[in-house]
Amino acid sequence: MSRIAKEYGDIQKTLASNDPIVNPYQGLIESLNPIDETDLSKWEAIIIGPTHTPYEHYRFRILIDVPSSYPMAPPNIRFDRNNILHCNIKSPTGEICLDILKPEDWTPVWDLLHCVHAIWRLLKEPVYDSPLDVDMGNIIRCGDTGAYQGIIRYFLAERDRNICR
Amino acid sequence: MEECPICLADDQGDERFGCLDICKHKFHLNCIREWHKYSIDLKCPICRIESSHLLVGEGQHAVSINLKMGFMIKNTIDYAGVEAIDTGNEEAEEEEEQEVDVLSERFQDRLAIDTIKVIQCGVCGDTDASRLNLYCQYCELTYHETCLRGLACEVGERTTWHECADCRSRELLELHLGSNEGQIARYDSRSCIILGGKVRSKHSVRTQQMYERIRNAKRSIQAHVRRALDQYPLPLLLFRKTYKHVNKQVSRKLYRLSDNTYMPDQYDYDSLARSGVHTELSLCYHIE
Repeated sequence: MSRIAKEYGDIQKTLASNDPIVNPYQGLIESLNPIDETDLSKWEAIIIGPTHTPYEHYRFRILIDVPSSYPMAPPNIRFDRNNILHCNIKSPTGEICLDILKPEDWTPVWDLLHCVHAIWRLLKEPVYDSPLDVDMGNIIRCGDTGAYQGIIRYFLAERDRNICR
Repeated sequence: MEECPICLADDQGDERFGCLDICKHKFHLNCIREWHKYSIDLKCPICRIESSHLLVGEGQHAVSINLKMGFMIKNTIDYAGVEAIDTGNEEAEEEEEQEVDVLSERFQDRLAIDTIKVIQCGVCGDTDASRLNLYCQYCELTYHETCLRGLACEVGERTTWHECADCRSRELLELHLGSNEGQIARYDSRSCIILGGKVRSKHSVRTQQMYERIRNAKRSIQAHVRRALDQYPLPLLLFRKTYKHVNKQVSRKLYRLSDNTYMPDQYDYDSLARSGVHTELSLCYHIE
């Protein structure tokens, strides 16, 4: 059985559990599934915005491409287009700047759950000194946390208003 | 049941595990080797501690795989590939020159360039191999005789010119590389050595040494057989053909006894030869 198929079984078991020791991702990761059951190279995950951040109460969809060389090469992960605002994420493409997803820092012992969890943590703790969204990076580096969070709240409220329409 | 952290499979022992020598983390041999084709360093995928060896098996049958060697070759191939691509596009060469420099820098410490030795004079640095005629076997340095003489004159020790300028060994060997038409002579010290004034592959030297060892062993054994034949109660020398035949047969038997080595403290070659000669002779006369 290939590694990704094996992971699929483990992920289902983990996320289905209510035991916080088996499933430490309760309240963080809502789901992590292949988009099409017959194709394990394309996955989607829904994560829940961390509390005490502007992302609280919002849900975010993450798209994952698993290359054929996985787990030797890292999975390709991005958010939906124009779906989130964050100093380490390029909003129009959903591209994420996270060191462990780069080939030089990736290691094959990490799995998809680790990656999605790492992205959840990135929402909680932005990395100011390597911004992908330069404008957002500049605001937060000036120390104006209020403005940074305000813009994100406004963006997310607008996002959901557009979806409702 | 052990599980490989890379493929997550906990199969029933049809895959062998290897263990990194520093951190002792275990992976399937094939999984960790495959990972090293992708990784940029030899750090453990779990703890990021670097290991240069992979241990396979346990106890007496344990094997230690040198990861550095394979990794160096991989990087050299990667580097060669990068170079080939960059030099392929000559029009944009100038722009790319900088890039290549950065790349060479990045790869420099990983390339094994220092093991390739250029043959040049240890005093003047001349690389014309045809005029270099002295060689220090300890420092692997070559010299012009004239340069060494000149150096000795300059420091006022005219009589002691015949020594290595580096380690002061007086056992300089003569070197005969011959002309190689203006090309710089070089050799790879991993696979070649200078022996008897010639650059030779280590493999050929080993073969020669083995051949010489076997020849010497055979010669020593033959001496015993010949003595046994000469001391035989019958004057065998009268029958040259028989003498040669018996000599050959008995010697061969004795070579096989100790796998072509001469071990006088383990075998009593004299009595073995005597009894061998006796059986062989009785066989001969029986047939005739």
